[in-house]
Parts: sequence; structure tokens; C-alpha cells
Amino acid sequence: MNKIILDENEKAVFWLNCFGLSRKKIGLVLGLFKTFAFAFSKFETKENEIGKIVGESQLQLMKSCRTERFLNEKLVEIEKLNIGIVTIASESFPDSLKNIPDFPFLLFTLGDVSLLKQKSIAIVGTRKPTRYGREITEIFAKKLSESGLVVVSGLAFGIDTVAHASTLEVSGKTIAVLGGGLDEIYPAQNTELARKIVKNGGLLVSEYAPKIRPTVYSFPERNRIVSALSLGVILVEAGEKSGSLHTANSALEQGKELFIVPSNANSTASAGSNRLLEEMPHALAFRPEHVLDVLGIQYNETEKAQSRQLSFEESKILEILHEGEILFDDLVSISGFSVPTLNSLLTTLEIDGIIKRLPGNFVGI
Amino acid sequence: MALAKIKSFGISGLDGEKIEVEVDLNLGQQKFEIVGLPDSAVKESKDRVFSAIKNSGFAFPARKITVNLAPASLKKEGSAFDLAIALGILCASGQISKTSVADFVFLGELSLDGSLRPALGLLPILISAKEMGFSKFVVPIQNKLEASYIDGIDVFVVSTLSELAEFLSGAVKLAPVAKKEWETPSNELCAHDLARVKGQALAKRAMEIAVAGGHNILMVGPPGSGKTLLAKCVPSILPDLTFDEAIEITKIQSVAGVLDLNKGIVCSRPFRSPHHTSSVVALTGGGRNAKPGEISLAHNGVLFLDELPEYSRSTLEALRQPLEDGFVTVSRIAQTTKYPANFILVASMNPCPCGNFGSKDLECKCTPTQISKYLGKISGPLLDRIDLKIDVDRVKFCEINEKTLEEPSSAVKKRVDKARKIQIERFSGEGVFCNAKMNNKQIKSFCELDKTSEKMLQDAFEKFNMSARGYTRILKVARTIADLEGSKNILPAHVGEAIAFRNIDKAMRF
Repeated sequence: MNKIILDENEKAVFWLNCFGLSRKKIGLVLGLFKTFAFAFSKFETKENEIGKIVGESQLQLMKSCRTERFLNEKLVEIEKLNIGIVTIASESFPDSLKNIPDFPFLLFTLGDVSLLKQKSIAIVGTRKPTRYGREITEIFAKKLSESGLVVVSGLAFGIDTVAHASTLEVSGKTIAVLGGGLDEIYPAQNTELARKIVKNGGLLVSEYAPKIRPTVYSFPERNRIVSALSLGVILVEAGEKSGSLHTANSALEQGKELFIVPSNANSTASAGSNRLLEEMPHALAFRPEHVLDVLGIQYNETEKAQSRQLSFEESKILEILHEGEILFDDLVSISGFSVPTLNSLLTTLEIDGIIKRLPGNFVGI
Repeated sequence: MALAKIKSFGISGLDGEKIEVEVDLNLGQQKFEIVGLPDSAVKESKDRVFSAIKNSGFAFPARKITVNLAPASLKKEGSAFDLAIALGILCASGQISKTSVADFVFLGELSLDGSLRPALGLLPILISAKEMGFSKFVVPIQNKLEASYIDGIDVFVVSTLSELAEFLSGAVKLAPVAKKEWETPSNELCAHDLARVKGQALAKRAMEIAVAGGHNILMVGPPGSGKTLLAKCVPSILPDLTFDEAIEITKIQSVAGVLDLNKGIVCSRPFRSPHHTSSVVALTGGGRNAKPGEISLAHNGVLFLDELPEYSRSTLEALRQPLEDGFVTVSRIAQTTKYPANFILVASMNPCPCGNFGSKDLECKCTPTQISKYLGKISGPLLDRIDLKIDVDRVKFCEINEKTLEEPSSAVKKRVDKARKIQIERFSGEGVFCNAKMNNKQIKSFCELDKTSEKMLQDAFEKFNMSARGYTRILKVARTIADLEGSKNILPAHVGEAIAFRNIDKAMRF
């Protein structure tokens, strides 16, 4: 159990958050006082005004709960789940979040909070990606992570999952912004991934208190935090009504860079992202290097896996594969190798990371 | 003394049990009683026997008749005791001489007009009876072929009760059924040939390895990719059926009542493809009489489970023990029976409910939850028993249209036969016959790797996140690939190819 230590300001923000008030109301209440701390300690001085904002019954509840005991009980509940708190009054609260119009006053965290202030890039996209989408996400996530960026995404299925998982594969840091409480990961299938993120020095963030389940409305709200935490948002494959289009929109509203990876013109999985790309062609992004250029970050040329001397047979296969991915059967007939030979050659090449065997018996580079 | 004893046989599991039919005629009111734990088919034989005797020109004795099927403790089932009961009554009433029936074992069901109907499970009965020292049998003419493969016994076939009476009285001479020599059945018996499957080079290769080493195989691919056709071709490359194997298969089919009486003995390896709504009992065997199930009917052949995740979970889990042991023990109130179930499991499935997951061009319409639920139906332990997992993709039209000649099954079979021979020699005295059935100790001694292979396997492990179980699977498959090439040692190329057949482990992780 980690102990949460809050100063007076943070305590006041946390206390105000315990009543399920809207962001707007919390903002108005806090605005009545000189410092955040007074919202708790000198609450009674502005009772009338607060009453007008929150309503009479809510005011009575707040008055009755304005005790250290109430605060401690609430804190212990959260401490028990090992969850931490970052409020707008905290040192670790990133400026990037303060600069958006509908910023959260409080974040629940699990993992390394220092990541909030590091340079980040968001990668978002459809929950049902094509193989192409997965590959692209993997390439972008790995390269950008290796260049020192923190990869931010939403822990949803599809592109989000691939983005987080690929970052972990290169031991990179990644932030997952959730649309519900951190005590129970949604979607449940990604619980293991969430655990890995934390274990590898990453961070889970949510503006929702534990035990709050995600709703249709919480995901779009979560998206604005994804884009706010990042220098830019990379959109890989978004369907016509994809939630990731929402993230792209908030990125634009917040003045962040938007990068859109092009997909097949006829792909329904990326109808939304392709349409957006049509509207704003300058958002086009082919390569991770381009993203880094725009963001002004030095590209970190990682050591390629030691390129070894290829045998004659291997280079013959690679030559064929340079034309694009190919069916195993076609590779047999073009290369002229027997099935057993080809199988074993491909395995060696695959182990060395030179080629990939793809679903449906395709082979690619 | 109006008492007669006739020898007959019943079936218990796959073995014949000697049953003595005792018939006693007593003074008293006319009555016909059968005792000795008869089931309903046996009880009903009263009426058949009555009519058959009457309609064959004999007199049915107006006495109190007691029929005892001894030993009385054993449950009797089926209709094959009809003939023995009828003869018992005729002997007891003096219409047929008692000495004439003494040497024979009688089997067969009676029709109301006195003609005979075939008996179920004749082959296992003849084999068991021969072991017990019986040598003369009278069976219905329909069972003639089934009886013609057993050496060292005389089997006489008759078509009616009156014909039998004439034979027993010596009025008619019958020759015992001529013995048939077992001929290795030719490949042409198989309806499907690999030559008819266009493309699918990888799948064909996997089939070859699976059959050569007795490995189970799982094909994953979208609908219409030819998974079923490939599976149906498997019998055509299976090694030759030996006489002993043929007898084993025939015994099971005979007991289950699915034997083709026109053939008498099974000449081709079975290919069973039970529907996915099949129950556990239908698959493993059971029912009131503990009959063999699909997995036993597939003994020495292929069990093809199409659309694997559609089978109920309990059905699939029930396969685990037979896949490991090669037999299944069916326990029912009446009896406990051990049936052989040594088959190659060929399974197929779609990658997701709609079938397009992972496809290059087509969009998958399934939600992630649907997919994980679908794939989750197949448990890890079951997957662990499947050594080869391959992707099968849709065949392009140009491939279907191509006139190129594909390798025929007979060529593949030659390689398979060679590899099997190597395995049988290697495992002589080890208790296993093929690579797939090796235990850990045998894997250690027969699958030694050189340094290069070891290194490759280690690299592959790290690269592909393989499990410890995956390790032994790859070793077994590599051993088979080496055998197919006639190589004494497992070479790096063999390990390399074996690693290539782990596709699904990858697909399951997303």
C-alpha cells in the first residue's frame, strides 16, 4: 500500500472531487477562493455563493463531510488499490493538461507519474485494424519510442493495444489513458497488458475514481486527455464513426500536431481517417522520421540487428520479397525451392528478424 | 430327457463370450420363458423363434419351455441367439438329433419365415471362439465374407432354418467357407487424391509430415479454402493397412454394426467426420450397451473434426485422454469396456467466427470479444496435443484453373511408408510406433540436436515467445522430418522447418 501525501491545496481539490460535481462546478467553486486550500479550510466563508453553484442539498452534504476523517477514509480507499493521485495543484501535474479548456482537476494514476511531463506522442486508431494497420502501428510505436518519446494511447482493442504492446517490446515507456476507474481495467482482456505497462515503468491514468465504470461518454472525454498529454497525435486507421476521430479532433482543437497514416482507398476500416486526410493533406505521415522532424526531435538511429552475410538462397528469397508480400505457394513456384527447403530457410530468416510470416500463409519483409 | 444344450456366442466389448443355450421341455401349460439376463431383443426372440419353427415345417412343442442363457450372470443382448434357441427347442423335442449339433457354435437372427439374418459382431466372436478352441461354426449366409478371413476354423453358412436341419441330418453336404488371402488394398480405393488439390503446397507438406509421424494436425483458414478436401485426402497417403490392423478395424465396425457385409473386412483406413453437434458419448463411446464411439471407429485411421470450436467444450476435452493413451475406457452400468482409439486427429477451424480475421484483403466483422471467445473454446491442453498447426488460405482462381500437375498421393505415400518403417525399427521394444507418441525420455534419447540446431531453437524461443510444451512439439516434428529424408540425425534444416509449423500459437496471441 502506498501512502498518498497531499498538501493543503491538493487536499482541497481532492475533497471537492469527492462529490461527483461536474468540472465546471468544481472550477467555479475553486474560483471563489484565493488559493485552492481555502476551498476546504475557509469553505464556510463563501457558503452562499457555493450554494448557488452546487445547489442546497449538495451544499449540506459538503458541509457535513468537511472533516479530516472523511478525507482520510476516502484516501485510504484509494491507497488500498495502490492508486496514486495527481491534482492540478500538484507538482507533477503537466502544463500540457492545464492548457486545454476542459482540463481535469484530478487524475488517478498507477505507475510512474513523471512520464506525464515527458515528451509524448499519441497513437490511436480503430478497434478492428487490418493487418496493415497493425504493422504500421508497430513500426511507428517502436521507432518513436526508441527515439525517446513516450507513447500515449487508450488501452482499447486494436491499434491502441498494438501501440502499447509494441512499445513494451522495445522496452519503451507508454501511458494508457483509461475511460474508467483504474481498479478494474476495461477491456478486461487487456488487464495483463496494463499490468505489464506498469511493471515496465509505464503509467496508467484516468480522471475517473476507482469503481467508476466506463460509459459511452467517458471515452470521448478520455480522448482529450490522450491528445493533451502528447505533442501530437498519430491516427492509424479510423472507421467512419471511430472514436479515434474524436481524438484527432481534440488534437486540432488543442493545437497539437495531427499525423494521419494513409490506408487503402477502399478500406472501410480507415474510411474515417482517409476522409480526414483528404480534408487536411498536410497531415500525411508515411514514416516515423517525418513525425520526429515535425516535432523537432532528433531521430535516434538504433543499432540494426547485426546484418549478417546472407547465403545465395536467402538473398534470392529476399529479392522476391522486395516486390511485396507474397503467398507461400507463389514463393515456392517463383523461387523454385522445395517446400521443406523453403520452410527452413524462412525460419532462419524469421528468427533473424529479416522476414515475417503473416497470417494466411503470406510472407513479407 | 427333453433337455438340449446349444453353443452360441455373445459380445462383450470387442470380445466374444461363450454362451450356452439350454432348453428344457417340461410338462405343464404351454409357456415359453427365457432366463439369464436377456435384454429386450433377446426376449422378443420368443416370437421370432415360434414363427420360424412353425414356418419351416417343424412342430412347435406344446410344452412348458424354459430357455436358459448360461452363464446367467452375464447380460445378453442382440438377436444372434435366435438360431441357437430354435435349434435347442428342435433338439429337445427330438426333431433334430442332439449329437449332430454338439460340435457346432450357432449364430444368427431368425426371420419369421425361417430364413436367417446376419449376426452383428461376428468377426470378434470368431476370433475369440477360435482362441477358446472352437473350430466349427454355423452362421447366416450374409456373414460369409466376414468369416472368410479367419484361418483354422470351419465356418458353414446357411440361409434358412430348414436348410440347416438338412445339413445337420446329413441329407445335404455343405463345404466350409473358402479362406480368402489378405491382399494389401490398393490406393485406388481412396476417393480423394492429393493430385486433385491445387496449390496449398504448405498444407500438403504438413499433411505428409503429420501422417508420417502420426502427428495430429490443425488447419486454420477461411471458409472455402479447401480444409475439408485436404483432410479427406489424408487416408490416401496413410501407410498400408496390415491384416492385423484391418481385423482391429473390422472388429470395431462389426460390434458397432456399421460393417459393410458385402466386403466382410475393412479394406481401407477409416475416415470419420462426426458432426459438431455430436455428444461426448457419440464421440468417445457409451450408451446403454457401451458401444464404441467415433474415436474408436476412427481407430487406425483419421478422425476429422471440421469447425473445431463449434464442438461443445466438454466434447473436445473428452478427447484429451484418448489422444494421449490411444484407447478409451467406457464405463456403463452393464459393463466397462476398453476400446482402442489410435487415430490421427485432423481438425480445421476458421480464425474467427466470420472467417476473415488476419486476411489480407477482407475485413473481419467480428468483435475482439467474439474472437477471443471463439478461440478460447479450444483449451491449451488440447492444443498441446496437436503437433502441427498450419494456415490454409483461399486458393486464387488462376490456381484452380491451372493445368499443372500436382504430386499424386501415391508418391507422397511412398515417402510416408519409408519414414514409418524407420520409426518402427527405431522404436522396436519401446512400446510406441510413431514419433508423435514418444514420451519425454524417448524424446531425449532419439531427438538429439547438434549445436547449430540447438542455437536455432533457442533463438526461435526468444524471438517467438514459445512455451516449454512447444519445445517438445518441435522436436517431435523435426524427428519426423528427418525420418522423411532418411536422415539419422536431426539437422538444422529439419528444426527450421519444424519451427515453421507453429503458426497458430502466434495467431492466438493478439
